[in-house]
Formats: sequence, C-alpha cells, structure tokens
Amino acid sequence: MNPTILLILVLFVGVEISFTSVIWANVIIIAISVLVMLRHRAPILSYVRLLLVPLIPAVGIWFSIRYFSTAQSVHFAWVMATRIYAYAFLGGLFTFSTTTEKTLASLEQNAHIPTTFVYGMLGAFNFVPKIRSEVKIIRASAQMRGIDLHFWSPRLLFKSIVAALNWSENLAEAMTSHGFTENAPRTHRTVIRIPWWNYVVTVISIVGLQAILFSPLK
Amino acid sequence: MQQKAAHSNRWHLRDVILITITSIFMGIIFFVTGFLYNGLTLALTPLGMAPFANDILLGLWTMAGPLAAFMLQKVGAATIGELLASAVEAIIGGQWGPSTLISGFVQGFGSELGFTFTLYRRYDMASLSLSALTTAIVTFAWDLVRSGYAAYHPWMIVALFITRFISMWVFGALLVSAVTKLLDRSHLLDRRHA
Repeated sequence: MNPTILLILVLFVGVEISFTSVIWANVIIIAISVLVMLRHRAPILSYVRLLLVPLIPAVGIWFSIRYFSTAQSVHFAWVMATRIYAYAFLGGLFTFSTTTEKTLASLEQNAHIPTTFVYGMLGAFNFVPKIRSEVKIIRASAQMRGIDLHFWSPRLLFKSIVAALNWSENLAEAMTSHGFTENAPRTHRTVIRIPWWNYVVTVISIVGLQAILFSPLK
Repeated sequence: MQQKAAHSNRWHLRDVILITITSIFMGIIFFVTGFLYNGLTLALTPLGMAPFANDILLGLWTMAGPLAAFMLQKVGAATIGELLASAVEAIIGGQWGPSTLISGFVQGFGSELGFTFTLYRRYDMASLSLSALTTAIVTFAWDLVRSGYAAYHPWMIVALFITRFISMWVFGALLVSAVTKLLDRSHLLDRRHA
C-alpha cells in the first residue's frame, strides 16, 4: 500500500480505538496486523519483541484498572491491556509494510509536505550512526576527567546540541551546494502513485472497524 | 518589526536538520535509559500504581517541544520539534510505531500553547513553566481517554496530575533552562536569532 494512505489509515484506527472500548476490535486489529506482517515475511523475533515489550505496561495497567479504579471493571481492564497491544501491532504492521525512505518520499509526493522538512529529516537520519558514537564519545571523554554524565545532565544535552548545531550548518550547506533549493519544485526519478485499490482497502477497513465498534461485540 | 517576525518564522533546511538531530540525540539518550520506565512500572504494579511510572517520566519525553521552541524561537517550533522527536522515536524504536506520532502531536501542541500565551515574546523560566503547565493539562486530558485515567478514583487522578506537572516542570522547565543557559553563554545561537 502507499505509505501515506497506510499512515493515515493506521493513525485513524489508532485514534478511534483510543476513544472506544471494544476488546474485540483490538483483538481483530492485532490479528490483521499479524496477517500483514506474515505476508511481508517479518522475522520471528519481531513477533517476540512485539509480544514482550508491551507486556509490562499492559500487565501494569490491567492491575491498576482491575483493582484500583472506581468501577474495578474486568472488561475495561482487558480493553486497556489489549489496546496497548493493538497500538504496538499497528506499529509492527506499518514498520513491515514500508521503509522510512519510502514513507518520506511518499509524504513529499503524495501528502505534499514541504521538501525542506522531508529532505532535512532524510539528511538528519543518515547521521544516526554518527550521533550514537558522539553520545559515547561525550560520555567517555567526561569519564576520563572523572565526571559521570547522566542522561538528565544538562551538560550532556548541551554538548550534543553544540554538535547538532555544527552538523546542521555543514549538512545544510552541503545540500545547498549540491543543488538543493528550499521548497523549490522538484522532479522525481521514482514517481509514487496511489493505486485505486488502496482507497478500496481504506474504505473497507474503516467501515469494518465501525461495524465492529458499533456491534453488540464487547 | 512585522517583516522581521515574518522572516524569522520561515523554516530553513538547517533548522529542520538541527531539530531532527537534536531529537535523535534525545531519542537515543532516552532509549538508553528506557528500562527505567519498565523497572518503575514493574515496581509499582503490585501497588496498582503502574500509571505513575508514566507520569513520573513523562517530562522526559515532552522535553523536545520546549527545547525546540527555545532554540529556534519560531511559531510552531514546539509542535514541530515534538512531532519530529516522536517520529524519530517511532523510527528508531520502531516498537510503538505511528501511535507515537499521535502522542507527539498532542504533547507538542500542549507545549506550544505555553509559548502562544506569551505571544512568542518571552523565552525564559516563566514561559517554560507556563509551557510545562499547558503540556500537563493537554496531555492529561488526552490520557483521561486514551489511557483510561478517567476510571481511577478522584484522589488518584489528582495525584497523577500533580506528579505529571512536577515531572514536566523538572525536565521541561528546569532542565531545559539549564541547557539553554549554557547555550546562551556559548553565544552559539546568537546568529540564528539575529
């Protein structure tokens, strides 16, 4: 599916299940996400991660709602626990259906997000490995002087921002000197289109969700 | 004056890159210490106080907004900064996926309100504190629905809100102002605000 359409659909579903409390809707969303992930041949480990990571928050909220809320409702406890899993699996569905580059390209061409934002983010994302090592360097060099920089230390953040300031200047200049003009119209080597069936899938999904949410299912 | 304001509100490539890299930094710093949240949740679950883990640490995740507002001093900087940070979190962590974007937007909008109320003229402890308060109110309203907070006892709802506000003030106002004081002393941002 086209990443922009899929993103809109996933966000819509995510917001709607936040405002409704139907366990079955959450479960069906999880099941559909698993099917989509299976189709995209997601590695087994990713299912394990999706099951384990939300486990602690889900169990935590289940106990809080079940024993410490005013109504102590078992139903609502399950709604909240499955909702957390539904969010996580919606994330998995999206992650395995597309890539960051494809999503940004589609946001530029289909959603018409200003190119300054799209290419600025794209440029910055390529810095991730450098950023990881910079954090390590800053902490290591502080440790050599016997100072432990914790994540809440203003100095660690300050030093990171100073590095970010330098990089952003350099990268912006480099991009400009390679011919990038802020928000100028661009031509594309790969034109991203939205196939007609994307709209069909979106409409069916949204109608189906309403059917479940407003059915006698709980 | 009018023209100057209009000019400085334009987003340039370097602003977008700066905010995204800063967000990635914060994303990584938080990611490294992400176990804190799970540890706290585990410790608080037997007491039924698991939601407090979220409220104690929430100030950390909403720091990107006020920091961006302070660094760029533009209309929309807090919203865009927090939204970008959540996009980074979604991409790096991958785990919560696009639903992080919804939280990011809500949190950014909350921080933004604080600066809107000062008409984007004040960038000091007062506007940071106001921003912490608006962020706490807006995100709390969202969590009443999304995280089922409305189901709790009134005393717990009040306690959660107070915890959240303290967290947002400590991280979003106190810590951000400490960082920006260092930045001011370095005069690195002077050129950008000129």
